[in-house]
Amino acid sequence: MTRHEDIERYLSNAMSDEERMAFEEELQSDPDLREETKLYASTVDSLRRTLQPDAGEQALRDKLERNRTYFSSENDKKKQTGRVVSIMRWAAAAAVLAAIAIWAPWANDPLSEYGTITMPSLVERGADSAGRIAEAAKLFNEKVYEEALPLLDAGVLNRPDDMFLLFFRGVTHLHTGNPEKARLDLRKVFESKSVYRYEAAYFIGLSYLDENREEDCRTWLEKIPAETQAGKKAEILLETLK
Amino acid sequence: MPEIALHDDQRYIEGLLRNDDQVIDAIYRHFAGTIKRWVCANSGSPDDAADIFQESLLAIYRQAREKRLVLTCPFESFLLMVCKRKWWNELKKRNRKGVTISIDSVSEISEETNDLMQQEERDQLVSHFFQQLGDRCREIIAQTLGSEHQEKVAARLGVSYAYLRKKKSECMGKLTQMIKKSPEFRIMKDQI
Repeated sequence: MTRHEDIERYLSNAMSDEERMAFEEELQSDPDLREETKLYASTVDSLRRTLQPDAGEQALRDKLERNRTYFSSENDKKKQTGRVVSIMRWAAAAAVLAAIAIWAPWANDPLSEYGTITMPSLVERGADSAGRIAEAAKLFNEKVYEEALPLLDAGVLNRPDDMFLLFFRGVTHLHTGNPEKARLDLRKVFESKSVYRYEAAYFIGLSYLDENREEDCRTWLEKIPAETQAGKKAEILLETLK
Repeated sequence: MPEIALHDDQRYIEGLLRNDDQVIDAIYRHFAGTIKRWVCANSGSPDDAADIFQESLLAIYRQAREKRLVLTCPFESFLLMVCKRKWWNELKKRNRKGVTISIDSVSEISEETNDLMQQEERDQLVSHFFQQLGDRCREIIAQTLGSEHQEKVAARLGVSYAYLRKKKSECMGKLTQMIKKSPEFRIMKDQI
């Protein structure tokens, strides 16, 4: 058994009392082991914070995003044409939906209301493909989906089995009005063992909801285990479908 | 032990935690102008200012949620310090030689700002190296971070619990080794 396995077992309470006591004695006398254990534990904490933003943080991010207008000026509006066009398009779609879809329990279009997710930007910028993905993440998070798409296409071309890229390209297709293409990518993710598989099921459900296909939407949302992050979002959406 | 007096501006922190529309609107109304002017005067655009403002508010939210952040100074000063430090880091990342921010602008860092920024920087470093792991490692680690019992995670992934724990510790070992070899580790080491 390696030292890292010992540390993992210690931190996850998987040791017997005897093993734990022996390990703690070793921690007292071995500064390297102590340092490694502290680093291991703090790394897990950091990963929890960055990979599992809670629903409250996501909701706050969405709200802050809507307040960006406080920073706008005439010059900025020119630079941000892509984003402005995108927002206007969704605003128009939401207005049309609100006007004609009296049956719907939501006031805005479901994609705008329930379809936001943050693409983790975990790599530094640079001239290599990792830099392109970081740029794609930036554009995606700014909702400039049209500009994020070619960068994600290039990424998928390089790494066709990268479920992370496929997932975010799928969501991008959804936001650029291509639900069929979106579902192709998202189904592959769902069928894999990727960490994003249930998020993929959620967005497939959302794509059907956007086409008013409630039954298909429900079928996909019900595939998601309740205890997952995606499951919590699906539950909210399923409530609105009742 | 004497209690630390809460600053009146603590209401902004509480408002962020509640995701309160009125408070958030007030934060933008009262403070966006100052941050925008400062970023624009220091080689940034209004769009940069909007990004920095948003990311700083999210960092404050995370700190408040996890560590019960208590304000001992006006919210505006605190927010400005966080924004300055974030903008300084962003400029370093962009490698903008010739860009100068006066040292005073970023050195007037309070203890709470320092805690907050250290955590942010540590998280960024970990994220950076996490992304360099292979797909399988990233997935195994990500899957085991939640509150779900690891035996259940193993069953879902179709592997034994012992195998999952072994693979996770291998992957975490790779990650911590990469972190340790990085030049930034010395700074991080002092903070853990």
